[in-house]
Order: sequence, then structure tokens, then C-alpha cells
Amino acid sequence: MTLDLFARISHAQVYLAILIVIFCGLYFSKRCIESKVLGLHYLFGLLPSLIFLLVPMKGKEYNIPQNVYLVLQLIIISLLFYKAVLGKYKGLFISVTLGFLVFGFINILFIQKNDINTYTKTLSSVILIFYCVLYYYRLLVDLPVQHLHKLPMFWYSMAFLMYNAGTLFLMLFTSYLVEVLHNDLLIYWTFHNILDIVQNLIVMVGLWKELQHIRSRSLLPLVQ
Amino acid sequence: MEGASAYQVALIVAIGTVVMLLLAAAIVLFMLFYQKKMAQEQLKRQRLEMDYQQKMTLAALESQENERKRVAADLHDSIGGMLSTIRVGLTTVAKQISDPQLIEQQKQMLDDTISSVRRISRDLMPPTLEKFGLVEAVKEMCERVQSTAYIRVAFTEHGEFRALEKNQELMIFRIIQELINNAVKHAKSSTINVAFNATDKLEVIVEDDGVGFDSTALLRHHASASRGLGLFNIENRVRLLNAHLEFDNGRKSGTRITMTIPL
Repeated sequence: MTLDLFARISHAQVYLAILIVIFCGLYFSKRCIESKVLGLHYLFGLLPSLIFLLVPMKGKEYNIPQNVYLVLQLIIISLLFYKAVLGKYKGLFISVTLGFLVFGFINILFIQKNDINTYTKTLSSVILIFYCVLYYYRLLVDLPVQHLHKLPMFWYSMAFLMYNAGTLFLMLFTSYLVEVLHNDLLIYWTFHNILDIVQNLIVMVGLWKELQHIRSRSLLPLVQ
Repeated sequence: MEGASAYQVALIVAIGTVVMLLLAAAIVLFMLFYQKKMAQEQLKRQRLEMDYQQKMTLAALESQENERKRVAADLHDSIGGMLSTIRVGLTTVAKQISDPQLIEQQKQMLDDTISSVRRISRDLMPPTLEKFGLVEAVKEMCERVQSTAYIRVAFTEHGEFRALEKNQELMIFRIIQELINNAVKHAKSSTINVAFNATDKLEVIVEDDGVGFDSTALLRHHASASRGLGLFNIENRVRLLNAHLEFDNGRKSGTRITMTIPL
């Protein structure tokens, strides 16, 4: 694994995120609330990348902005799933988000502090897997459509599930591998970035499906 | 030792990741297949419920028709028969008394009552429908309405009309009867046109020149209790016939209702 390849994969990851933000902007007013929140989530996700690019972080502690970003990101994703399950389980979403917020700050202040900060990310992955399963459970109960693949949120949920399930063990052991066993983080993080690219691609499928639906809807009066 | 441990941890990470990814994929696949199955079952259940409701409606309409038939027969055979006997008796009495004019008014009233009983009996179950079919029954109904309600009721027929099943003809007759009644009672119309266009489907048009009505508002209150029983019965019969009912909204006055029945 070369640093060059790692950089290329990281760039691809950022470009895809930018593309998703642009894609969400297309027919923004006609898009469903989930897609709007998702666009906000990706726009927000670009900020750390921009901060690292624009602000010289060498020698500075970037775990702090990273952790703040993680906490805020989970708030947005909680909102996304809260909207997706049609406002059900309000108490659960609030408790989980508040719990995560408290854990995130405890972790950065008392547990991992300035070391590689992966416990917050691990908990975030567990929470997101739970959200995805909860959303799928609601789909089974409510049966909103006959063809699930036409629902954009089905794809977004699939993307989050694949990414978080794939990175859970990675996040859980990264700290141990790097700090105790002095292993090379590059290969693990490249794998993480590849999973992130897969996640973004699946999200784009969902956005594309919604765009198709919006276009067919806008063509309807002409057909009639 | 450290190398072996690093290898073991990396292996755990790799296996854990693969297992988690497989689990995620399994959840997604399970969702896709199971939800589809559930949706299909729900659709099937809805179809069964609709079938059941349709059967119930049909049974209710059939029992209504049977009841009408019974009442019509009782009116015609029993009351009608008795009134006719009384009429004969009165005529006999009139011949025996010195001034027959004394009971002339009673005789006239009795004649009117006999006519009313016949008319009610015919409205309840038109014998023409059973004997000569739908077209003749509708023609006769138009003539009768024209003579009693003093409204011009025209009937036209285009194409070759093939006889339908008895219960279908009865349902179509009832719909037309209800539409004509509405035009007479509520529309204040002076002319009613009833037309049959028979091609590969039967098109029945009932048109009047009355005050008209807001069909959009009527359909908006589709589910409300304010909808009349007449319209409710029309809708039920249309559904049972697999027919389509269309209200012409683009008219300045009057109403044009087209019912299309697949043959």
C-alpha cells in the first residue's frame, strides 16, 4: 500500500461526497425530506475535509474538530431516520442522541483524549446499524410500497448499514492495532475509505431513483 | 509474539468485518424478499376483502330486488285483485240503485287507486323487463314518466343491443330509473334524453336540461354520510357491473351522465 494510492482513494471519496451534495441540490424542492437531510449531512461531512485542506493542522490536535463533527453528524443522521420512520420513537431518538453526545465528550475529555479517537466512531456505527434495522423493521410493519427498491431511503439505509457494519470491527480494534501493536494504520484506513466509497455509490443509486421518480412525475401532465 | 498477536487481531478484524458485511447483506436481501412477499399477501387480502364486500353488496341488492318483487306481486295480485272485485261490486250496485251518479265519485276514486297500485307495482318490478328485456322496459319507463310527469322523455337506440344476463339488465334498469327520477325530482328539467349506444361496449347516456349539479362537490363528499342513498345504490350497481360512470362537468346547464358497461 503506497501513500499515493491512499491519497487517490481519499480524493475519490471526497469527490463522490461533493457529487452527492450536488445531486441532492438537483430538484431540491421536489426531493423528499430524507434526501434533503442527507444532502445536509454530506455537505456537513465535507467541512472536516475542507478544514484539513485549508487550515494547517500539522502539529495541532485534530481529534477535537473530528469528534465535534462526529457528534453533530449523528444528530443529523438521527433526524434523518426520525423523519424516515415518520416521527415515531421520538423519545428513543432523543435519548440515543443525547447519550451519544455525552459519551463523545467523555471520550475526548477522559478516555481516549488526544490518541486515535475511535470509540466514539464505534458507538456511532452501532447506533447507525440499530437505526437501519429499526427503519427496515418499520418498512416491514408499514408496507408503504410494493417495490422497496423504488424508495430512496431504502438505498440510503442500505448504504449506512453496509458501511457501518463493515467498519465496526475496524474501528473497534484500530486503536489497539496502532497504539499497542504499532501496526500500520494506512492499510486499515484505506479499507475504511473503500467502504466509504461503496456507501457513497449506494447513496447515489438512491438519489438517482428519486430523481427518476421526480422526472416521471413532472412529465405526467404532458402525458395526460 | 507481538507479530503473532498482531496477526491474530488483524484476522479477528478481517473475519469480524466479513461477518458483519455478510449480515448486513443478509438483512437487505431478507428485507427485499420478505417485504415483497408481505406486500403481495396484503394485496391478496385486500382483493379478498373487496370480493367479499362485492358479494355482500350483491346479496343486499338481490334481497332488495326479491323484496320488491314480493311487494309488487302482493300489490298486483292481492290488493289489485281485491280492488278490482270491489270495482265490479260497485258497478253492480250502481245498476241496482235509482241514482247511479251517487257513487260515481267513489268509482272514480277507486279507479285512480287501482291505477296507482298498478303503477307502484310496475315501478317495483317492471314485467316488461322480464318479458321483453332492457330496451323495451326502458322505453316503457320513458313513456310512463312522460305521461305522468309532463316532461318530454326521449329514448334513442344506436347499434345492435345484445341481451345481457337478467340480473345485469335489472341493475342497468335500476340505475337509469334512479337517474331519471333524479332529473324529474331535483333538476327541474323539461326534457330528458336517454340513449343506448351498443358497440363492443354498452354506453348509456342520460341527459337533461335542468339546473344541473356540481358533480365535483358530490364526489368530494364521496365518503361522507351526506351522500344520498340513490347515489350510493348507483355506485354499488356500477361497481358490480364493472362499469364506469362519468359526469359531464363542462356544461353550462343540465346534466349529462354517461355509463359505460363492458360487454
